[in-house]
Amino acid sequence: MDPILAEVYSTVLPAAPYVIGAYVGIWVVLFVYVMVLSRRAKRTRDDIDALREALHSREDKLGK
Amino acid sequence: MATDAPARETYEQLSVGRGGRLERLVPIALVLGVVLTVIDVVWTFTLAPLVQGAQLSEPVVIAGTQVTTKLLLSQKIFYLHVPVAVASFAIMLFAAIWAVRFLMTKSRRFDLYSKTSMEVTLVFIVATMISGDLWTRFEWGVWWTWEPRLTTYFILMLLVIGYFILRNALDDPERRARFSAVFCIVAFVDAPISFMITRLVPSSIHPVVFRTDSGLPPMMLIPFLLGLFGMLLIAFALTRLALRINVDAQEVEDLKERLEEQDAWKTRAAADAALERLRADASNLTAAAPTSDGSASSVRAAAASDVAGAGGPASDGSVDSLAASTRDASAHPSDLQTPSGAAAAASSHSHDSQEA
Repeated sequence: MDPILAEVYSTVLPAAPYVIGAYVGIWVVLFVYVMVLSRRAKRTRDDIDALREALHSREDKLGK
Repeated sequence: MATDAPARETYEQLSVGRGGRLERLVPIALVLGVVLTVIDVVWTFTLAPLVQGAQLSEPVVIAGTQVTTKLLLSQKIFYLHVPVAVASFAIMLFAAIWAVRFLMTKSRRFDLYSKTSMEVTLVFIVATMISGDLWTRFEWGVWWTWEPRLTTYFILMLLVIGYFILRNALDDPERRARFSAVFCIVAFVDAPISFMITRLVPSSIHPVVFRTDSGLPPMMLIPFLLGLFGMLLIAFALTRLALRINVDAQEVEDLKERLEEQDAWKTRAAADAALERLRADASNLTAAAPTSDGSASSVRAAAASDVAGAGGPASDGSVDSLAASTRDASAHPSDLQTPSGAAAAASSHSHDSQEA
């Protein structure tokens, strides 16, 4: 490679891992948060269903 | 006019706006935000030119253009790092606004909004710190330096973490909401300081992005703006999604409270039933007393064991306290004679204990 061209691009290749890491890092953080939200939503939905069922069955029992 | 005590809102009141226009915009905002950000990334690595760094030992012509400096790839972090940082400031602004509204109205809804916004703010701050730190490592050769922008942003992150520590440390919901709102507003003061610090402190070596003479060519400005709007839309969508889940979590708490109330009601109903039996036994006792002392004692013993078994108001089993309980019951016969009356009494009892 031309030594001048090598000098021109001397900071490009060494920076690549950092640039890729920064982009991946941002997306990973957002993706992890979305996953956490998704799991939390599922757990909350399950809890609501279970509690509503328990509440209804108790109300039925008390009604009788 | 604000009241002293925060309003205790139901799940239905908290979920105001659910299924409304904003809620319907969430999937659109999320998809649009992701699309804009992906275009930003593609544009950044294909069409946006590399910025120039240090001077070369001698000029060189590349593709008909004279190049006199080294080309910097690391600057491309800017196209996503800055939009994420701006989004973190924007969401925190909303967190502070909702904290102010909570203090004005004492409505639990705004406390929930503020908490959710702070949660998303923390996510964006972490993303900003990661990308910024990688740029710092390459450009400045260190993982961390106590430069004014980095320092103030680091403090902002600590304040947001502190907000959640404070929330978890307080058990009383009213105090938690009030203290958190005040802390959120105080923490937000650091956001404009962090944003402006590169202009206020001349020794700051962090690049200043938003300025009138930035001179970004369109090929660099367009992807930056796409990334900015994309990240703001993603932040909006994530905040609304998180809010929906937090409102659901509140419903779980409400349902648990209702179940606990029912438990209290059942205990109270058992005690009331025992009391009814007692009253019947007391009537028998009165009728039997002139004829036989022995039979009266047996009725008393039976009555005492009834109440002790039920764990009712006179669970010590003494006849005096039984009698006192019976008198109390007689003073409010409507509370005891019908199931609905007993339920009302139980409800009142559980309400009193909750307030206590």
